This record gives sequence, structure tokens and C-alpha cells, in this order.
Amino acid sequence: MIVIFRYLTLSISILGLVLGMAHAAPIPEAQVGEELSGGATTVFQNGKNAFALPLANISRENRRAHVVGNSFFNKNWVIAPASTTARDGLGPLFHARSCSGCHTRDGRGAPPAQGELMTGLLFRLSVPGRSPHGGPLPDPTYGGQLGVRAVPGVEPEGNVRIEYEEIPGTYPDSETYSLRKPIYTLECSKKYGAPQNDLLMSPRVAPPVHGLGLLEAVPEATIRGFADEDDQDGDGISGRPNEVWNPETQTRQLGRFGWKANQPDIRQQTAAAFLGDIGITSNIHPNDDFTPAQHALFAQPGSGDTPELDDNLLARVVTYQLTLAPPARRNWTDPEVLRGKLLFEEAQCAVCHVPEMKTGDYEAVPELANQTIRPYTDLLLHDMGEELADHRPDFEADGREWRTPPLWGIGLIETVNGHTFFLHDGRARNLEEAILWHGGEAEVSRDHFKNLNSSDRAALLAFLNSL
Amino acid sequence: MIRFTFPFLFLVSVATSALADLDSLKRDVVSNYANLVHANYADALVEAVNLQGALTAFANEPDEAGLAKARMAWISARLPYLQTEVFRFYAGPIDDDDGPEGLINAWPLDEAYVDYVEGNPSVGIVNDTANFPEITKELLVSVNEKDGEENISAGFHAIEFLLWGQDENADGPGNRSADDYITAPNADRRKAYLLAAGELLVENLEHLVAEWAPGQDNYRKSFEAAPSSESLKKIITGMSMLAGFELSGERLLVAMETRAQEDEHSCFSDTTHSDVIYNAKGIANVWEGEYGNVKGAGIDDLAKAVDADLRKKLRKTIQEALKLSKQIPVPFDQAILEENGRASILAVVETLEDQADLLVELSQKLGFEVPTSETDS
Repeated sequence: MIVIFRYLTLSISILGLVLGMAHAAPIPEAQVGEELSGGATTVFQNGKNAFALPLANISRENRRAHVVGNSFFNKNWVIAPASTTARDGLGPLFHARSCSGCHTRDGRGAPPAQGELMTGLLFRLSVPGRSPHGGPLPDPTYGGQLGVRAVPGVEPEGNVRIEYEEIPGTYPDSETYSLRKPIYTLECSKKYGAPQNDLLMSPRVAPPVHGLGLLEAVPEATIRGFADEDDQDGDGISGRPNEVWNPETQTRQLGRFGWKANQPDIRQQTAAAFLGDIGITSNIHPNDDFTPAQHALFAQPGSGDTPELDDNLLARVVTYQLTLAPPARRNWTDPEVLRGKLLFEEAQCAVCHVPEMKTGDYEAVPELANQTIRPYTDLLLHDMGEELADHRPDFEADGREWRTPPLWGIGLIETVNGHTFFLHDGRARNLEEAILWHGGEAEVSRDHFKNLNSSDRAALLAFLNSL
Repeated sequence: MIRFTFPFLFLVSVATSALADLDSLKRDVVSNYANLVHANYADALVEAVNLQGALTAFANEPDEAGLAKARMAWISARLPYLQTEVFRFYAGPIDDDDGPEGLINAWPLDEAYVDYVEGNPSVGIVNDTANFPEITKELLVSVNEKDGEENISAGFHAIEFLLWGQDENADGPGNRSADDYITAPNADRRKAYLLAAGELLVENLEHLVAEWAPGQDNYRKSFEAAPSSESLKKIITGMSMLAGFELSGERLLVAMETRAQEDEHSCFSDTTHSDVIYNAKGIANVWEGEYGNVKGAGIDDLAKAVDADLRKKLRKTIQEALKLSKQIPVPFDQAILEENGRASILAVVETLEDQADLLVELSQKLGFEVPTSETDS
């Protein structure tokens, strides 16, 4: 079957070349409902708040939780002790003061501009080896994440100098492009001393947070069904699930969220981000990410209540994210977009960026249940090649693997966040560069894209921008 | 044939004239709304100028009596302004891309961003002579909402904090001493801050009055010239968003949930109860089409014309919200802690949620749909 399909694709491409046309295959019409990224939850907004809306079908009760969670997602945490007791406990080390500090308008972060202290980008740290639960082994001094900000009385751990090297390239049709490759130099604070020689560093941009509830509601069997660990179908693509630790249930679970699928659900992701990014403890993570080595350097700065984030408010912030709707597509019936959609499939992009799936039951937020959704992801890990590798394993994900990010809403990032920096570290300056960085299992797809003529490449990008 | 044609023509003409009536009613509602907005902002400006006068008098001769007068002037200035908040949420002059909303009423405010707080005597812009050698309007604009939504340097709540200080009292508001403006460290800088913030408030309200003034080449002109359904969508969006999102959600539910004073809208002066009442009053004004001397077609008339039953239900929620908001016990920071207070706040929330849902229904009857969550208007 696969062989025949490929043969057909090939002949169509040859036909296209022979006829000198942009695309000779008949282009199928838009499917009924394909604009509904999140089924009945889909919202129709395409401005700067396109990712900030609750599910279209949200109940009044969940809407109230959403509103309260929204407030906590947006507002700043302050240094303890403060008169603002509900939101104190920032730090001692932190990356931002609020969730929205990085996930601006529930959208995507960006790498820092020249001379700017990073906000939408952070660096995970570890040393070779595994933690008792199979995760990365934190650095004995610096812990699991570089703290670029600190409360008074504590020093930031350091910063990363980012330089970019331009790498020129040429399409087979002789059009040119240029990619910028980041070069990271860790500049540690003298106070903490030089890091270990074998310190591992992984840059991570803050991903958008809309539609997460629907991804959580996809049955585990569906995601495992996408996996093809030993590439038995011979398509060169071997997605595999991450298996991660859930500190709350004390079990190993399928990883779904994060750039390396290192979090099992939104609740764990949120509690971990509160701790790692804002320095806020919860019942899930009762202790700050402040290593014994750091405790020895600084008298313990003031902390908020224990824990700083109570269970009720954590639940509200989680519900907030579970109930952020994906936006509907735009221009989905546009002929160029439809042509781009076909090209996306022909280039095998859709093998990992799986267009459509169904959610299962979801008791806590029944609005999410049994929806046909179009997230364009398989939530699996893929080898993305040497150029994108961070060489830092994260549970089962090796140093070359990344999770397929969902593409829904990707065409609205520019409107929502005012930039088009893509990939895990924001190195791609637009979607075209993002495609050109794809390597490893995606190399064949990338080359397919490169071999398209310029009008077809534009059509494929138009399709992506319609998502 | 002819016998059938006449009644048919007659029916068509009745329908046409009903449509024409509705169209003209819509235009009346839009132009009366523009009058109402202008009158309301004009009142807000008068009160802000009055506040600026009281701030200047206090800064010139700081004493407790002057501080008390300034506080009274602040409370008076709030009343018309709060009623204008129903003109937000549709990217009009108040909150379009360069609109001054964030400089007028941003909250909650991190006190330590502005001035000293309990336990931190040298924090805030007032005390940061190194980074901010001079306190000017321009400075307040440039640092407002910088690096965080609670880093608020300007507007009503910054002035409120400078006049009252932190509210550490269970049964009353903050009680900053006039000494903060006489003998305390950086007293002169605190005065300069107060005056700059007052002046900025006046300027921003002047801008809003100008944008809504009749007969000018301004926002109002395009608002009245636009197809009436477009402008009506904006009008009803202001109502549905204030009822269904900002007031019921951000200002009431969040404070109930956290039981924390910091989530109280006017936490330093303990006037949050009045904020709720005058926000609800703002919605009622637009509904009735009445404010001060302005009296004309309101959304009520429009609702009556499209769906009498829906109008009745909506009208009830608008009256109820106003009535129930007056029953919230004072001070609000105690009401969120005790059973009766919480029940009375929840009653307002529920009414406002119903109101927002009914406004959505009304908008659908009018051929468009208004939001109840932050959207792109």
C-alpha cells in the first residue's frame, strides 16, 4: 500500500514537472468542518486575543474557574513577605513573575533581542545520568534550570550569551535563503563558581497554551497508536512516546506536554512551571529549586506561605489552561491553501503533524470530551537531526529527539505575539526557516519542500498560516 | 389576481416601514449613546480637574485637613469615571491600541512599585532616586505596566495609594499620614508624584472628551457614520464585557476566590462597594439611554422593538444588579471573608452572568454576537 502510494505521489510530481505546472493533481475541496480546530470548543477569533478565549461550549461553572485562573495566570507574583499574601513567594530564583510573562496572551515566547535579558526563552540544566525516577539529573549547584533573575539578597545564577551565525542556503530552483544558527555561551555568576564541564543545557521557548485540554483528553491508546518505534512501515519516521514520572501519583505515565513531552498532564506541567519559572512552591513541589550549595551561599530569603500556591488556586490555573480554546482556521477554502494542504500531505508532514483525531471521555471538563480535533501533532518524540539536537536527554527522549508540536493557531502567532520565531529555541525567523531546520526523521519532508517550486512552497506556507 | 396583489403589497409596505422604523431607532440609539458617552466623560473630567486642584492645594500646604479633602475629591472623581467603564472593551478611544485605560484605571497595583510598604521602607519609584532622579508625567507613562501587569505607576489607583497608603485595618481604609508629605524621607518626591499623576489623569480624560465631542473630526464622527449594527455591536459589547467578564469575573469572583484584599478593586480607600454600584449604574445608563441631561433612545427601546420578552428579562437583571450591588456589605475586604458578604457578592455575580448571557441573546437577535470574554473587538 505504502509503496503504491509513494509511486503515485512520485508520478504526480513528475507529471507536474513535465507540464511545468504548479500542481497537476486535482485538488480536493475543503472537508466539511476542517476549519473547526477543536470541534465544538472552537472559537472564531483571529486578533491578538485569539488564544485567550474559553472553550466555545464552556459551562458557567468552568467559566468561573477559567476567569479566576486567568487572573492568576496573568498577575505578578511578588517577593515574600508582602501585603499581597495571596501572591507572594516569588523566587528565590525565577525566570518571570507571572505565567503570562512568558506565555504572553497565552501565546508563544521569543528569544531575547540583542541586549535584552531573556524572558520567553529559558535554559534547562542537568548533568549526565538520571534522577531516581528516570528524569534528568540536576546540576549539584545550579539545579535543573538556569535562574536568570533572583530576589534581593540572592544572585541570579547567570545568563546565556546568544550569538547567531548565518548559514546561507540555496533551493534547487536557485532561490536563496539564510538560516541563523544560535551559539550559546553560559556566563555563570562568579558567586556560584564554574559549572561542571559536562553540564547539559537545553534552550526552551515558552509554547502557546491554547487547546491543551483537548490534547489532554486524547486517549492514551490513540497517541500510542501513532507510534512506530522501529519504523515497521519503513517510512523513515519512527515516533515514540516519552514515559515520564508523575510526582503526584508516583507513577510512570505517557508524556504529553513540553518540548520533549516530559510532562504527563497540564496539572504536573503547571506545578513544575510554577516552581521552575516563578519559584512558587505547591503541594506537588513543596521545596524551591534552590540547591543545598545555594543554601550554603545565601541566608534563606523570605518565603511565602507553605506552600506558596494553594491547591485551590493551582486547580484554577490548571482549569484555565484546560479550557483555553483553539481558534478556528482562516481561509480554509482558499484554493492556494487547499493546494498547500495537499502538498503538506505529499511531503509527509502529516505523518507526524497528524491533522485529525478524537478526544475521549474527560470527566473534569466534559466540554472537552468526544470532540473531533485538528491539532496537527502526534505528541510523540522524533529524531530531528543533529542541527536541532540539544544533546540533553529528558526521560526517554534522547538528545536529538523533540516532541511534535501542535500546529493549530500557528498562523496567528504573529498577530498575537508580534513575532514569528519558531522551533524550541526560536531560531527560525519564520515558518519557512522552521521547515528548513527539520532534519533526522523529517529530512525527507524537508527535502521534499526544498524541491518544490516557489509557488508550491508559498502554497504550503499559506496552508500553515491558515492553521 | 388583483385582489391578491393589494393585500400582498400592503403587507410588504408594512414590513418595509417597520424595518425603516427599526433602522431609524438604531441610528437614534447610536447617536444618543454618543451624547451620553460625551456627557459622562465630561463629568469625569470636571471631577478630575477638581481632584487635581485638591492635590495641588495639599501639596502646597500639606496637612491632615488637606489630605482629607484630597481623599474626598478622589472619591467624587471615581463616581462619574466608574460609569464610563461600560465604554470599554471595543477598542474605542479608551482602550484602542494607544488608548489610555492602563494609565487611568489599571489595577491591582503592586504598592512596592510606587512607594514604601510595611517592612520595605525604601522601595518604589518615590524612593528610587538613583533610577528616577526626577518624577515627571513622562516618567510615569514610561514605567507604567513595565515588566509586569501590576507594575502600575499611574492612574486612579496610584493616586489612591499615595493618598491612603496600605490598608492594614480590618474596619477601615488605609491611613497614610500627611507627614509622608512633610517630614518623611522623599516627601517632596511624593508630592511631585501626586501632582504628576493628577495632571496625567486630567490629560487623559481630556483626550477622551475630545474623541467623543460632537461636530469634530474624531472617533465619534466615525462611530456615528458607521453602519448602525457595527456601532451597536460595540455598545452592547461594552455592556456584556463589563457584566460578564470584568465586573463579575475580575473584580468580584477573583476576590471571592482568593479572599484577598489585593484582589479588591479599590483596596486602599475601601471604596470597592461603590465601584460595583457605579459600574452597574454605567450599564443601566446605556440601557436606558440616560445620563445627566442626556435622555434618548437606549438599548431598552431597541430590545423592546426586537423581542419584548427578552427585553423584560434583561431589564430585570439590570435593575437587580444595581439593587443587589448596593447590598454588598462594607468594607468589601471583610465582605469577601464572611458568609453573608460572600452570598451577597455571589448574588451580584449571578445576576451579571445572566445579564451577559441575555445581552448575547439580544445581539444575536440584532444579527451579530457580542463577546463575554476578552476578545478582539
